[in-house]
Amino acid sequence: MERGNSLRFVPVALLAITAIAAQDPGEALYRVGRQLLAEGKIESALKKFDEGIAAAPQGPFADDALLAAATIDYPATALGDLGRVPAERIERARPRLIKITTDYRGSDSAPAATYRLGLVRMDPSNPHADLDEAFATFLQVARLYPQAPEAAESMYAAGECHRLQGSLAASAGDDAIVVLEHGSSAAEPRSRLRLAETSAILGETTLARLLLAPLTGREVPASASGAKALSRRASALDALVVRSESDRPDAPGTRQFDVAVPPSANALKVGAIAADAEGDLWILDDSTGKVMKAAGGTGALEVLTSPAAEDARGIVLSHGGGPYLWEDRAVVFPDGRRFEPLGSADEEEEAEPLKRIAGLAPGPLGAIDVLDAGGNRVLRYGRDGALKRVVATLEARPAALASWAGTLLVLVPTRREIVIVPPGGSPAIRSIPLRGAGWSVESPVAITTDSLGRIYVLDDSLGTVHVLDREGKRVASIAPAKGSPGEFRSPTALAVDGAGMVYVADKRQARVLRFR
Amino acid sequence: MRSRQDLLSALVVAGIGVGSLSSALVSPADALAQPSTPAAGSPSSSSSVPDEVRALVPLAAQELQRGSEILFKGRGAGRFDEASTMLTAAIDRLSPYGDVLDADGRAVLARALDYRAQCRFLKGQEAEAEADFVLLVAAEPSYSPDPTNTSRKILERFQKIQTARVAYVTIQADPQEMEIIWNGRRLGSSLPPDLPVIAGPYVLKAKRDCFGPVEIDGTLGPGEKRIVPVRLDPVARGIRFETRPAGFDVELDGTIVGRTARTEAAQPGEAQEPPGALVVSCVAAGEHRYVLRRDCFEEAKGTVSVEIDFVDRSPIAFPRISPVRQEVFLTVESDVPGSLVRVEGAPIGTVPVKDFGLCPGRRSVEVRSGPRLVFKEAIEFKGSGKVRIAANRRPLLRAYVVDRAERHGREALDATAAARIRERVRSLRGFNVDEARDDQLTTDSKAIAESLGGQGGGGGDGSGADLALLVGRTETERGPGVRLSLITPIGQVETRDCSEEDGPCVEAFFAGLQGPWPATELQSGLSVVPSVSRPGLRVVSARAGATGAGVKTGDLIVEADGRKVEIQSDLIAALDAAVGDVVPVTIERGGSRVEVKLPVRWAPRIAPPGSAPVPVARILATASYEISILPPGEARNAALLNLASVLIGRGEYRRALDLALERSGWADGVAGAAAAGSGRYLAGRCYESLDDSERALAAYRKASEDAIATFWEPDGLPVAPLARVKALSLSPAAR
Repeated sequence: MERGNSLRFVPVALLAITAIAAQDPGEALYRVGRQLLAEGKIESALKKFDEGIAAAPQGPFADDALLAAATIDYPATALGDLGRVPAERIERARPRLIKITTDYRGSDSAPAATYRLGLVRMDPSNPHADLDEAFATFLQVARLYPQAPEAAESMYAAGECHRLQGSLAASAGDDAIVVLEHGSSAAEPRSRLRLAETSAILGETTLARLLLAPLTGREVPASASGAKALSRRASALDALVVRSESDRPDAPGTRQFDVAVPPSANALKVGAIAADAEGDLWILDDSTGKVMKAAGGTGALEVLTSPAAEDARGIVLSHGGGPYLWEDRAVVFPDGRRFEPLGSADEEEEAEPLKRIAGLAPGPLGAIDVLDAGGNRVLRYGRDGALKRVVATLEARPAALASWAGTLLVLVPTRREIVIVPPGGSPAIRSIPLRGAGWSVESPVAITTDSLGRIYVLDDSLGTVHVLDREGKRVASIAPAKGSPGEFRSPTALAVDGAGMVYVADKRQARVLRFR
Repeated sequence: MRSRQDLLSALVVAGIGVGSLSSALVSPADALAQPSTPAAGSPSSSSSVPDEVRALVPLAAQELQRGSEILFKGRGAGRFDEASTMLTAAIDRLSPYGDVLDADGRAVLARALDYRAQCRFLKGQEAEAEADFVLLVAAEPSYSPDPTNTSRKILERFQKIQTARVAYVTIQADPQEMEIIWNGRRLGSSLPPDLPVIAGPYVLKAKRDCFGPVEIDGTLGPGEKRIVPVRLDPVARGIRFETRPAGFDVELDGTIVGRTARTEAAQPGEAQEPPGALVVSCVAAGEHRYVLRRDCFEEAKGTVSVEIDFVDRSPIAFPRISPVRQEVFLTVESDVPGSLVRVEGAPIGTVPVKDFGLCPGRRSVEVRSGPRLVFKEAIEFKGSGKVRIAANRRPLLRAYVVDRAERHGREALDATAAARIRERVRSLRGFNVDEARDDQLTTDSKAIAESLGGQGGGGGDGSGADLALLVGRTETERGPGVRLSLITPIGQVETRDCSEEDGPCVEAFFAGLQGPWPATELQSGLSVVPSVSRPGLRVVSARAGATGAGVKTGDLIVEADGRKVEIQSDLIAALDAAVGDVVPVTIERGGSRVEVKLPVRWAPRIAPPGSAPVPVARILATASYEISILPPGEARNAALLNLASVLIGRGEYRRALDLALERSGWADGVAGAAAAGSGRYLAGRCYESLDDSERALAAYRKASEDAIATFWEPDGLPVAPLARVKALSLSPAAR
């Protein structure tokens, strides 16, 4: 039986096919199917695979044929592939994958098929997607086929399910299995990074740094871009952990002004900003509606051709790092596509376009949460643009939206509070007040989070950035003195990169101030 | 067959006293009253009597007894015919064998003839009576009727017949002891003077071991007395070996001829043993090889030349030989404290045994911890000096080679293939090998697996094997072959079919079996690969320890502990034998040879669960074995964790708990990867996989209390915080 998920070209002479056919029609048809697939004749290949399965359902190549056929419809092999396959093709692949996991459980195709089925059950394009089912399927791979290469990837995916459900600790448990038991797997560095992050979030900062050490110290070849990005993210996270440990609530001076981007003032009209986990700074130029990127947060500004929107009001980064823009009524995807969300969740009413979008939070699986300031709601849209559900309804007008690990944070300035919407949705919604013993936020204009879940609030009237823990307790603040190089004159936007560097867009200074 | 005592009783009942019979049978060597034991070197005269003839004598004696009773009771009663008939029966029974009868037989025959002659005289049949006397004298020339029971008249008639037919010889023998055969009749070896013989022509033959035989003939006239000198010339000579001490086996021309016996009593307080001697008689002239052997002494050997001296016939006296005493002083150490050491089955103490005196030779050395075999090997001890054995624990491998009849689906190998496999099994290093007979294979591989050591959490019966090797015949694509199966406590782990022609296939199986055992892997600080250009191991990296000893990257290791090394397992074997010590290593560097002393230390190493490169069978066998014999401590904890790791890697969570993690005897206070906290963590992992959240949570919480536990290589992550994270993941709030 053949092993492997990819459909490779297999040069098979016709004579050989004939010879094989004389012995095993299932195998012969399977090989013909592979040949046709290599020639790009997808439908013919699918037909041959099906014929092969029908001809020899108990044959040694039946499972291979089923997996090959399923792969034609559902080629996703990693979490990053989710949401890219249409629902109808998922529906065609799903029964084939299920058949392998039930009728061919002992075959060598079973681990890959079960893992693939887990992806199907997790895929947001799948109308029957269910995270619990997906998690159980991934766990099945790890338990039934602990030696299979898919076991580690399955545990990593299981951890992602837990994360999406907001179970950080449970996700850490999954990652621990990958790190400790699948040390040489491809999933291990990803799990390690995620486990380090979760450990830091849970207060195990020593463990987090130990986990990160091999990732940050790793010499990565220049060609391994994925590994390099992972190493950069690990270094950033390590720096963030160090920063979080040195932050003191009553010592504002702990965060120092670092640098301004661009260095000279009044060089550009800063509209909004965002920073990614690897430390790159993204600036929306208000005058052109274009996005500029400063590599490493301080590098030369590179103007991107896409996306762009003249009336863009904000910028946010997807999990993959691409920038989304939003206008009052539209969302602009990283690839430049525009999407105008419709606003009614009531099936009886005719849907209307949103009138005032105040924030955007792309989900990890392609879903988008949109803050509708006109309707005081947070709405969730699928990758296809269809409204999925109302995530939260607010009692006052919201001004900004941030997200962290599936949790949404909505700034409601008039109430001087942040509404926390956990992954589970409305029943668990709570709010945290923007005040505490000896401090308060007077005029919050922007919020963001770092990867540890800490909340950063920009107060334009006091010229202060407050850093709060997940419970709303202030743990640090940035308040540059007047006249100092980093003073705020008209702060409008806020961003934090993976290393915990804080960026404040100052409209009057027309530049971005970075604090380390 | 009646005994000699029975015969005497019969004669006594017949009124013939032992004394009278003795006087009647004048042959002193054959007299009934005197045992007819011949001198050494001379065969007994009776020994040549055929058994069927010897069996006739008691019957004839009974007939003689019956006849004599009738004769003496019937005297005057006219029952001579009846007595004569009975006596005739005895005479007829024995007379055809007159020349081969022994002394007892001749005595019975002679007496029967005597009594029948008397019957005939008394009946007036004088001619028949005289004929009987003629026969009597011919049968026994020295016969003399009992004068008390015989009438004077009859006595005179007898003497007259005897005198007319008998002559007297005196044989002067030189040497005195020799076997004399007179006219075909054996006379024995020690003869009195004037021995009566039948007059007329005679042939005398004389012989004796170590002497050349002689034959003398002549004629004797009636009543003649003659002295016949008989001289034998020596053709061989004795040798006297004398050794100090006594007790040496003497081998002459490849045959052990005896052992030197003490010639002096041991003196109290004398340290030296008394000497001994052995006289080997009758060694033919010429050169002879001799070897003197005794355990614990140097062998003495040489040649001895035997020359015949016709004057001095005493044995050749060899000068006293005093071979040098040899003794090996054996030191036995083991990594299993308190183990009992036996040499050739006899206990010599518990480890460490220091300088136990031992004679050279092949000796079985066995080390046991309780019933568990730690180490067993037949070792050849040579010469004198000190020998040190590191009898470290090794797994016990039980090898079943099916070579007689099919057993549990295993076909029998032919004799050649079986012998080849056995040879290979015996050469396995790193194991104590127990060769089981195939008729001991009373069960299948699954049951074998269950019988292996450590099963069931209690260590089995404490004496079982740790893994088993099952070898039988199979058919391969290339013809008949062998099927090799390695069975561990969790079942048949590795099976390989090799055709009979494919030696490398079999070799690869055994080489794999013999590779490094992670649980007991020794840290020498060296990474080596087999050299492709020359026999030896190329050092690809050398760390502390090795570098301190002078090993450098690029060196070629050619010998370790005096043995050539070509593959990793060669080096591992040398390291294995020198844990905690140094192993001498020969290195080739830049065309010259360098000797270094490589320190070897033991470090427990724990394999992560499911770790792909880990050889499952080896870890499993080693770990279960170590668990059963090790006292609580770091090494046992490591073994428990290794066993758990393997089982977890195979998804066998319940067994990981039963066989390792929930087993008693975890040592607390052990730091690092072998800490109890690591075990608690893995227990939590198992319970979690068994969906027993409550126990998993408890285990993780327990693990989180162990501040000094770390996880396995390479990170050495602390267990406690990760256990806390895991505990949190299982807490109801997280769910």
